[in-house]
Amino acid sequence: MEKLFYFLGAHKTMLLFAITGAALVSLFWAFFIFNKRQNIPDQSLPFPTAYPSAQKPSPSQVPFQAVETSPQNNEKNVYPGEIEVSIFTNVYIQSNKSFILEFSPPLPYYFKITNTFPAKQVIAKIYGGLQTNTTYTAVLKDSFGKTVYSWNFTTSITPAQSSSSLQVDKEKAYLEKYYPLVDYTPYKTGSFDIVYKTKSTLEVKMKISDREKVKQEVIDWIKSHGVDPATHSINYINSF
Amino acid sequence: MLRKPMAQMSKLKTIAQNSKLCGRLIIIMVIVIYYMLHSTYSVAQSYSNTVRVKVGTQPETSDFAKAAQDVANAYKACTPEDPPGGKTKLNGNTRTNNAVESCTLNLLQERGYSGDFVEKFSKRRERAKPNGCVECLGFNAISLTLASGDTTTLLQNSPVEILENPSLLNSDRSSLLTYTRTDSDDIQPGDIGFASGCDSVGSAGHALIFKRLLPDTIRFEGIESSYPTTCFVNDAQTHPKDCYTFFRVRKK
Repeated sequence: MEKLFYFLGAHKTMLLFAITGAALVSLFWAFFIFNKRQNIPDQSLPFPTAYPSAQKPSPSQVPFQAVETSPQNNEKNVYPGEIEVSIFTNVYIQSNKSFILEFSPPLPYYFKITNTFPAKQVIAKIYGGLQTNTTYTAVLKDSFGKTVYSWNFTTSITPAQSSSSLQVDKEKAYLEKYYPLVDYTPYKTGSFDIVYKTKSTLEVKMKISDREKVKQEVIDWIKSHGVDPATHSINYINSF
Repeated sequence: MLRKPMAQMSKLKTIAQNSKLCGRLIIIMVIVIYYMLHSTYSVAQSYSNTVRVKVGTQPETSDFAKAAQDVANAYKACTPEDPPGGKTKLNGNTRTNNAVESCTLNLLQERGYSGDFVEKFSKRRERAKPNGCVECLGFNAISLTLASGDTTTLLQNSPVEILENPSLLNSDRSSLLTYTRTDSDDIQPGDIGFASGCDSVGSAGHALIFKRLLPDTIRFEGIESSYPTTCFVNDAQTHPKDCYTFFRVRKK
């Protein structure tokens, strides 16, 4: 061994070890990358199709045709929850004013178009779900009211579990109506603390004895957030 | 005469010192690589069918919020990251495939839940996806099953049905759990909230697990599934207290 070291010399030995080290590191990274690729979860989940990108939109492409829908025509046992109804078109649709989408019988609540335009698809999110065991006819019309495509699907007997999107919509409207200052509370100054007590009712803890001064400051603060003070009951409590 | 052997000795000494240094470097490198490979394996095995069982105590019913959080975290960890731009959402999807399924179960076991409870969770999950995914009530049910081992809880009725007929909560006599109506001023993490309508707007049908009250004391954060689009878990969605009726879960 000593002879070998002597033969190679110190520098060559160092070089040998460096090459060995580099090889080990390379092997490690190769293994790491291979392992990472092997374990990427299956991404073939049923998500909405991406926007088509092969063509650039042209304003002269209307009228359009439906090439595919989801749910499909005559599909049975469709989940009656807050599903997305999609229509894929042959050409780009320029805006949400380029078409009319109707359902019959009328939806229990409403739907919203959730995709952006121009796009070769229309995605309608059903808020609040659909009626169970009901055959719906969906009609896509152009902006002149002429039917482009019409198809049917039937919902399942099993009821949907939830309507969270509708719920969130309602909650948002509720907060805007009764708690328009909720994002700014609790609020504190040297003169007062203010919090919501119940809907449309604010509680003010006064830190100074000048009641009129505090009242004016509170009203100014409410107005500064674009809210009419008359829409709220305000309870003043001494806290000094 | 002596110069040459001394020079040779000096050279050999240098080589020996260098070899020693290199040897140490290689040992350090091997140790580093070992630990890096070990950590890689930990990530990789999350997606494999390998089950690593850790010894741990069973969570109590009061750990319902923790179980819900663990379920939400597992779904997030086992689904693809959202691509940049924010248009497509993938992370946290509960409409799983086999890889995500096994990953979720493995992660829950790693969090300390026993194989038995995780197996019950898995079976309960199969019954909690009428649309292929786990929606709000299903999310409550599987979280509760994971925390308590009870598979009979909150069956396939909608939240609105449960709320309108509270006896449904206790309809299954074999259930290990009871549900007690809780005042909204007394809610605590782990309580179940059912959407009971806001003012006159009526019930919409949603269920969640209370996580924490926000400083405004009007809104709270919930751990839940199905918002903003069906099949996704969300562990920090805010809601107004006024719109929910709360129940506390206890072991019988």
